[in-house]
Amino acid sequence: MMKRILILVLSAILLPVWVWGQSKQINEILDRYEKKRNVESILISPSLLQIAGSSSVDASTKDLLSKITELRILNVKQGAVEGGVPVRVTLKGELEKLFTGELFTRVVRVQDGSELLEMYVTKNNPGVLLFLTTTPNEMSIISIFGNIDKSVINAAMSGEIKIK
Amino acid sequence: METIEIKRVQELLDRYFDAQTTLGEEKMLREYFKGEVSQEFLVYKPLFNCYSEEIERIEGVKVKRRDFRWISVAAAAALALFTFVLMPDRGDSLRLVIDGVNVKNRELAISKADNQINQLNSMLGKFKQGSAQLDNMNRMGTALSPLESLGKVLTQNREENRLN
Repeated sequence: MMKRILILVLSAILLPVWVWGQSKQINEILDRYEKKRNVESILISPSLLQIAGSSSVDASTKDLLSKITELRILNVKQGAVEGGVPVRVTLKGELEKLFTGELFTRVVRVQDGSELLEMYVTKNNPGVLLFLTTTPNEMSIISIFGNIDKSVINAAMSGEIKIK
Repeated sequence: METIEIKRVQELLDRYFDAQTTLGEEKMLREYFKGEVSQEFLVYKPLFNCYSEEIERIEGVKVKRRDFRWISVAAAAALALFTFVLMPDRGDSLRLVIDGVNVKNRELAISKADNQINQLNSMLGKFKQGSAQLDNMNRMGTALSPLESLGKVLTQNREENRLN
Protein backbone atom coordinates (compact mmCIF):
# COMPACT_ATOMS: atom_id res chain seq x y z
CA MET A 1 0.00 0.00 0.00
CA MET A 2 2.75 2.41 1.01
CA LYS A 3 4.69 1.52 -2.14
CA ARG A 4 1.70 2.29 -4.34
CA ILE A 5 1.15 5.62 -2.64
CA LEU A 6 4.83 6.43 -2.95
CA ILE A 7 4.75 5.65 -6.69
CA LEU A 8 1.63 7.82 -7.10
CA VAL A 9 3.18 10.74 -5.23
CA LEU A 10 6.43 10.42 -7.19
CA SER A 11 4.55 10.25 -10.49
CA ALA A 12 2.52 13.31 -9.53
CA ILE A 13 5.73 15.17 -8.79
CA LEU A 14 7.75 13.94 -11.76
CA LEU A 15 5.11 14.25 -14.50
CA PRO A 16 4.88 18.06 -14.37
CA VAL A 17 8.68 18.20 -14.32
CA TRP A 18 8.84 16.05 -17.44
CA VAL A 19 6.12 18.04 -19.23
CA TRP A 20 7.89 21.24 -18.22
CA GLY A 21 11.19 19.87 -19.50
CA GLN A 22 9.67 19.14 -22.91
CA SER A 23 8.37 22.66 -23.34
CA LYS A 24 11.16 24.38 -21.41
CA GLN A 25 13.33 25.26 -24.40
CA ILE A 26 10.57 26.81 -26.46
CA ASN A 27 9.20 28.67 -23.42
CA GLU A 28 12.65 30.06 -22.70
CA ILE A 29 12.82 31.52 -26.21
CA LEU A 30 9.30 32.94 -26.01
CA ASP A 31 9.98 34.42 -22.55
CA ARG A 32 13.06 36.18 -23.87
CA TYR A 33 11.51 37.56 -27.05
CA GLU A 34 8.27 38.78 -25.47
CA LYS A 35 10.28 41.46 -23.65
CA LYS A 36 11.40 43.09 -26.91
CA ARG A 37 9.89 46.11 -28.63
CA ASN A 38 7.37 45.52 -31.43
CA VAL A 39 6.72 42.06 -30.07
CA GLU A 40 3.40 40.88 -28.65
CA SER A 41 2.87 37.79 -26.55
CA ILE A 42 -0.40 36.18 -25.51
CA LEU A 43 -0.77 33.26 -23.15
CA ILE A 44 -4.14 31.52 -23.00
CA SER A 45 -5.40 28.72 -20.81
CA PRO A 46 -7.55 26.00 -22.43
CA SER A 47 -10.64 27.29 -20.61
CA LEU A 48 -10.73 30.13 -23.16
CA LEU A 49 -10.51 27.81 -26.14
CA GLN A 50 -13.28 26.10 -28.04
CA ILE A 51 -13.57 23.58 -30.80
CA ALA A 52 -15.46 24.83 -33.84
CA GLY A 53 -18.78 23.14 -34.54
CA SER A 54 -19.08 21.48 -31.15
CA SER A 55 -20.57 22.47 -27.84
CA SER A 56 -18.52 23.00 -24.70
CA VAL A 57 -20.31 20.08 -23.03
CA ASP A 58 -19.49 17.74 -25.89
CA ALA A 59 -17.46 14.81 -24.48
CA SER A 60 -15.00 14.73 -27.39
CA THR A 61 -14.48 18.51 -27.12
CA LYS A 62 -13.87 18.21 -23.39
CA ASP A 63 -11.45 15.38 -24.03
CA LEU A 64 -9.59 17.33 -26.70
CA LEU A 65 -9.36 20.51 -24.64
CA SER A 66 -8.26 18.54 -21.59
CA LYS A 67 -5.15 17.54 -23.56
CA ILE A 68 -4.15 21.17 -24.06
CA THR A 69 -2.45 22.80 -21.08
CA GLU A 70 -1.66 26.16 -22.63
CA LEU A 71 -1.67 28.10 -25.87
CA ARG A 72 0.97 30.72 -26.38
CA ILE A 73 1.31 33.18 -29.24
CA LEU A 74 4.31 35.34 -30.03
CA ASN A 75 3.94 37.94 -32.74
CA VAL A 76 6.97 39.79 -34.10
CA LYS A 77 6.17 42.86 -36.20
CA GLN A 78 8.20 43.84 -39.25
CA GLY A 79 9.52 46.92 -37.44
CA ALA A 80 11.11 44.93 -34.63
CA VAL A 81 14.82 45.56 -34.99
CA GLU A 82 17.55 45.15 -32.40
CA GLY A 83 21.18 46.15 -32.97
CA GLY A 84 20.42 46.73 -36.64
CA VAL A 85 19.21 43.13 -37.06
CA PRO A 86 15.51 42.34 -37.50
CA VAL A 87 14.23 40.47 -34.43
CA ARG A 88 12.47 37.93 -36.66
CA VAL A 89 15.83 36.97 -38.18
CA THR A 90 17.47 36.28 -34.80
CA LEU A 91 14.33 34.51 -33.58
CA LYS A 92 14.19 32.35 -36.70
CA GLY A 93 17.86 31.50 -36.19
CA GLU A 94 17.24 30.38 -32.61
CA LEU A 95 14.21 28.35 -33.62
CA GLU A 96 16.11 26.67 -36.46
CA LYS A 97 18.71 25.49 -33.93
CA LEU A 98 15.94 24.04 -31.82
CA PHE A 99 14.15 22.42 -34.75
CA THR A 100 17.29 20.79 -36.14
CA GLY A 101 17.94 19.22 -32.73
CA GLU A 102 16.49 16.01 -31.42
CA LEU A 103 13.38 17.46 -29.83
CA PHE A 104 11.21 18.50 -32.79
CA THR A 105 9.98 16.99 -36.03
CA ARG A 106 8.79 19.15 -38.91
CA VAL A 107 5.39 17.92 -40.00
CA VAL A 108 4.65 20.39 -42.75
CA ARG A 109 6.14 23.37 -44.59
CA VAL A 110 4.10 25.15 -47.22
CA GLN A 111 4.91 28.38 -49.02
CA ASP A 112 2.56 30.51 -51.05
CA GLY A 113 4.36 33.53 -52.50
CA SER A 114 5.60 35.54 -49.55
CA GLU A 115 3.57 33.57 -47.00
CA LEU A 116 5.14 30.64 -45.27
CA LEU A 117 3.54 28.18 -42.88
CA GLU A 118 5.56 25.63 -40.96
CA MET A 119 4.37 23.15 -38.40
CA TYR A 120 6.54 21.36 -35.87
CA VAL A 121 5.79 18.86 -33.16
CA THR A 122 7.89 17.46 -30.34
CA LYS A 123 8.89 13.85 -30.86
CA ASN A 124 7.82 12.82 -27.40
CA ASN A 125 4.44 13.03 -25.80
CA PRO A 126 3.41 15.20 -23.96
CA GLY A 127 4.94 18.10 -25.76
CA VAL A 128 4.39 21.07 -28.05
CA LEU A 129 2.65 21.62 -31.36
CA LEU A 130 4.10 24.71 -32.95
CA PHE A 131 2.94 26.72 -35.96
CA LEU A 132 5.31 29.25 -37.44
CA THR A 133 3.71 31.68 -39.86
CA THR A 134 5.68 34.27 -41.80
CA THR A 135 4.12 37.06 -43.85
CA PRO A 136 5.78 40.27 -45.16
CA ASN A 137 4.34 42.17 -42.17
CA GLU A 138 4.98 39.83 -39.28
CA MET A 139 6.15 36.51 -38.00
CA SER A 140 4.03 34.53 -35.53
CA ILE A 141 4.63 31.52 -33.39
CA ILE A 142 1.51 29.75 -32.19
CA SER A 143 2.45 27.03 -29.75
CA ILE A 144 0.05 24.55 -28.21
CA PHE A 145 1.39 22.80 -25.11
CA GLY A 146 0.06 19.59 -23.62
CA ASN A 147 -0.60 16.00 -24.58
CA ILE A 148 -0.16 16.53 -28.31
CA ASP A 149 -1.61 13.45 -29.95
CA LYS A 150 -3.10 13.05 -33.41
CA SER A 151 -6.54 14.31 -32.32
CA VAL A 152 -5.01 17.64 -31.22
CA ILE A 153 -2.91 17.84 -34.41
CA ASN A 154 -5.92 17.10 -36.60
CA ALA A 155 -8.10 19.66 -34.79
CA ALA A 156 -5.41 22.32 -35.09
CA MET A 157 -4.73 21.55 -38.75
CA SER A 158 -8.42 21.60 -39.61
CA GLY A 159 -8.72 25.07 -38.07
CA GLU A 160 -11.10 23.80 -35.41
CA ILE A 161 -9.34 25.35 -32.42
CA LYS A 162 -10.75 28.81 -31.78
CA ILE A 163 -10.89 31.43 -29.06
CA LYS A 164 -14.18 31.67 -27.14
CA MET B 1 -8.81 -4.45 47.79
CA GLU B 2 -12.09 -3.71 49.45
CA THR B 3 -14.52 -6.55 50.04
CA ILE B 4 -17.33 -4.65 48.37
CA GLU B 5 -15.25 -4.23 45.23
CA ILE B 6 -14.34 -7.91 45.17
CA LYS B 7 -18.01 -8.70 45.48
CA ARG B 8 -18.84 -6.36 42.61
CA VAL B 9 -16.10 -7.87 40.45
CA GLN B 10 -17.38 -11.34 41.18
CA GLU B 11 -20.87 -10.25 40.19
CA LEU B 12 -19.61 -8.71 36.98
CA LEU B 13 -17.59 -11.82 36.17
CA ASP B 14 -20.63 -14.00 36.74
CA ARG B 15 -22.67 -11.78 34.45
CA TYR B 16 -19.80 -11.75 31.94
CA PHE B 17 -19.60 -15.53 31.74
CA ASP B 18 -23.40 -15.65 31.42
CA ALA B 19 -23.00 -13.18 28.53
CA GLN B 20 -25.19 -10.65 30.31
CA THR B 21 -22.74 -7.79 30.77
CA THR B 22 -23.22 -4.46 29.09
CA LEU B 23 -20.38 -2.76 27.21
CA GLY B 24 -19.94 -0.40 30.14
CA GLU B 25 -19.60 -3.31 32.58
CA GLU B 26 -17.08 -5.03 30.34
CA LYS B 27 -15.09 -1.82 30.27
CA MET B 28 -15.17 -1.73 34.07
CA LEU B 29 -13.82 -5.28 34.15
CA ARG B 30 -11.01 -4.44 31.73
CA GLU B 31 -10.12 -1.39 33.82
CA TYR B 32 -10.06 -3.51 36.95
CA PHE B 33 -7.81 -6.18 35.42
CA LYS B 34 -5.37 -3.54 34.18
CA GLY B 35 -4.42 -2.69 37.74
CA GLU B 36 -3.75 -4.73 40.86
CA VAL B 37 -5.94 -7.82 40.89
CA SER B 38 -7.09 -9.80 43.85
CA GLN B 39 -5.46 -13.22 44.10
CA GLU B 40 -8.71 -15.07 43.41
CA PHE B 41 -9.19 -13.26 40.10
CA LEU B 42 -5.62 -13.54 38.84
CA VAL B 43 -6.59 -16.40 36.56
CA TYR B 44 -8.80 -14.02 34.53
CA LYS B 45 -6.19 -11.32 34.16
CA PRO B 46 -4.68 -12.58 30.82
CA LEU B 47 -8.17 -12.82 29.34
CA PHE B 48 -9.08 -9.17 30.00
CA ASN B 49 -5.61 -7.81 29.43
CA CYS B 50 -5.55 -9.57 26.10
CA TYR B 51 -8.61 -7.50 25.08
CA SER B 52 -6.98 -4.35 26.43
CA GLU B 53 -3.82 -5.03 24.42
CA GLU B 54 -5.92 -5.68 21.32
CA ILE B 55 -7.77 -2.38 21.79
CA GLU B 56 -4.50 -0.52 22.30
CA ARG B 57 -3.12 -2.09 19.13
CA ILE B 58 -6.22 -1.08 17.10
CA GLU B 59 -6.12 2.44 18.52
CA GLY B 60 -2.42 2.59 17.69
CA VAL B 61 -3.20 1.75 14.06
CA LYS B 62 -5.89 4.46 14.06
CA VAL B 63 -3.35 6.96 15.32
CA LYS B 64 -0.90 5.85 12.64
CA ARG B 65 -3.60 6.24 9.96
CA ARG B 66 -4.33 9.73 11.20
CA ASP B 67 -0.61 10.50 10.91
CA PHE B 68 -0.56 9.12 7.40
CA ARG B 69 -3.47 11.37 6.43
CA TRP B 70 -1.38 14.33 7.46
CA ILE B 71 1.53 13.02 5.41
CA SER B 72 -0.78 12.89 2.35
CA VAL B 73 -1.95 16.46 2.96
CA ALA B 74 1.65 17.59 3.41
CA ALA B 75 2.67 15.81 0.17
CA ALA B 76 -0.19 17.48 -1.74
CA ALA B 77 0.76 20.88 -0.33
CA ALA B 78 4.40 20.30 -1.21
CA LEU B 79 3.40 19.29 -4.74
CA ALA B 80 1.27 22.41 -5.21
CA LEU B 81 4.05 24.60 -3.87
CA PHE B 82 6.60 22.83 -6.05
CA THR B 83 4.44 23.33 -9.16
CA PHE B 84 3.93 27.04 -8.50
CA VAL B 85 7.58 27.64 -7.65
CA LEU B 86 8.70 25.74 -10.73
CA MET B 87 6.24 27.40 -13.08
CA PRO B 88 5.46 30.76 -11.51
CA ASP B 89 3.81 32.42 -14.51
CA ARG B 90 1.88 29.48 -15.88
CA GLY B 91 -1.12 29.95 -13.61
CA ASP B 92 -2.42 32.92 -15.65
CA SER B 93 -5.51 32.09 -17.63
CA LEU B 94 -4.85 35.02 -19.95
CA ARG B 95 -1.77 37.16 -20.25
CA LEU B 96 -0.92 39.81 -22.82
CA VAL B 97 2.53 41.36 -23.13
CA ILE B 98 3.13 44.18 -25.61
CA ASP B 99 6.64 45.61 -26.02
CA GLY B 100 7.65 43.87 -22.81
CA VAL B 101 4.85 45.48 -20.80
CA ASN B 102 2.18 43.36 -19.15
CA VAL B 103 -1.13 44.73 -20.44
CA LYS B 104 -4.10 43.98 -18.22
CA ASN B 105 -6.82 44.16 -20.82
CA ARG B 106 -8.76 40.96 -21.23
CA GLU B 107 -10.79 42.07 -24.25
CA LEU B 108 -7.69 43.22 -26.12
CA ALA B 109 -5.87 39.97 -25.31
CA ILE B 110 -8.79 37.86 -26.53
CA SER B 111 -9.16 40.00 -29.64
CA LYS B 112 -5.45 39.71 -30.49
CA ALA B 113 -5.40 35.98 -29.84
CA ASP B 114 -8.53 35.55 -31.93
CA ASN B 115 -6.93 37.48 -34.81
CA GLN B 116 -3.82 35.33 -34.67
CA ILE B 117 -5.76 32.07 -34.58
CA ASN B 118 -8.03 33.24 -37.40
CA GLN B 119 -4.98 34.22 -39.46
CA LEU B 120 -3.47 30.78 -38.88
CA ASN B 121 -6.75 29.06 -39.73
CA SER B 122 -7.10 31.17 -42.85
CA MET B 123 -3.56 30.26 -43.94
CA LEU B 124 -4.29 26.61 -43.29
CA GLY B 125 -7.52 26.93 -45.28
CA LYS B 126 -5.78 28.67 -48.18
CA PHE B 127 -3.05 26.09 -48.37
CA LYS B 128 -5.63 23.38 -48.07
CA GLN B 129 -7.52 24.75 -51.07
CA GLY B 130 -4.37 25.15 -53.11
CA SER B 131 -3.15 21.68 -52.44
CA ALA B 132 -4.55 18.43 -51.19
CA GLN B 133 -1.47 18.06 -49.08
CA LEU B 134 -3.00 19.07 -45.78
CA ASP B 135 -5.98 16.79 -46.36
CA ASN B 136 -3.56 13.99 -46.98
CA MET B 137 -1.75 14.98 -43.84
CA ASN B 138 -4.97 14.72 -41.88
CA ARG B 139 -5.69 11.32 -43.28
CA MET B 140 -2.18 10.21 -42.52
CA GLY B 141 -2.48 11.64 -39.04
CA THR B 142 -5.35 9.29 -38.46
CA ALA B 143 -3.80 6.31 -40.16
CA LEU B 144 -0.36 6.56 -38.63
CA SER B 145 -0.35 6.61 -34.91
CA PRO B 146 3.32 7.25 -34.12
CA LEU B 147 4.11 10.88 -34.95
CA GLU B 148 7.61 9.88 -35.95
CA SER B 149 6.12 8.13 -38.97
CA LEU B 150 4.78 11.46 -40.22
CA GLY B 151 8.27 12.87 -40.22
CA LYS B 152 9.62 9.86 -42.07
CA VAL B 153 6.91 9.83 -44.73
CA LEU B 154 6.89 13.54 -45.42
CA THR B 155 10.44 14.64 -45.71
CA GLN B 156 11.21 18.24 -46.36
CA ASN B 157 12.57 17.54 -49.86
CA ARG B 158 9.43 15.79 -50.87
CA GLU B 159 7.34 18.68 -49.62
CA GLU B 160 9.39 21.28 -51.41
CA ASN B 161 9.45 19.32 -54.69
CA ARG B 162 5.70 19.12 -54.67
CA LEU B 163 5.26 22.76 -53.94
CA ASN B 164 7.84 24.19 -56.34
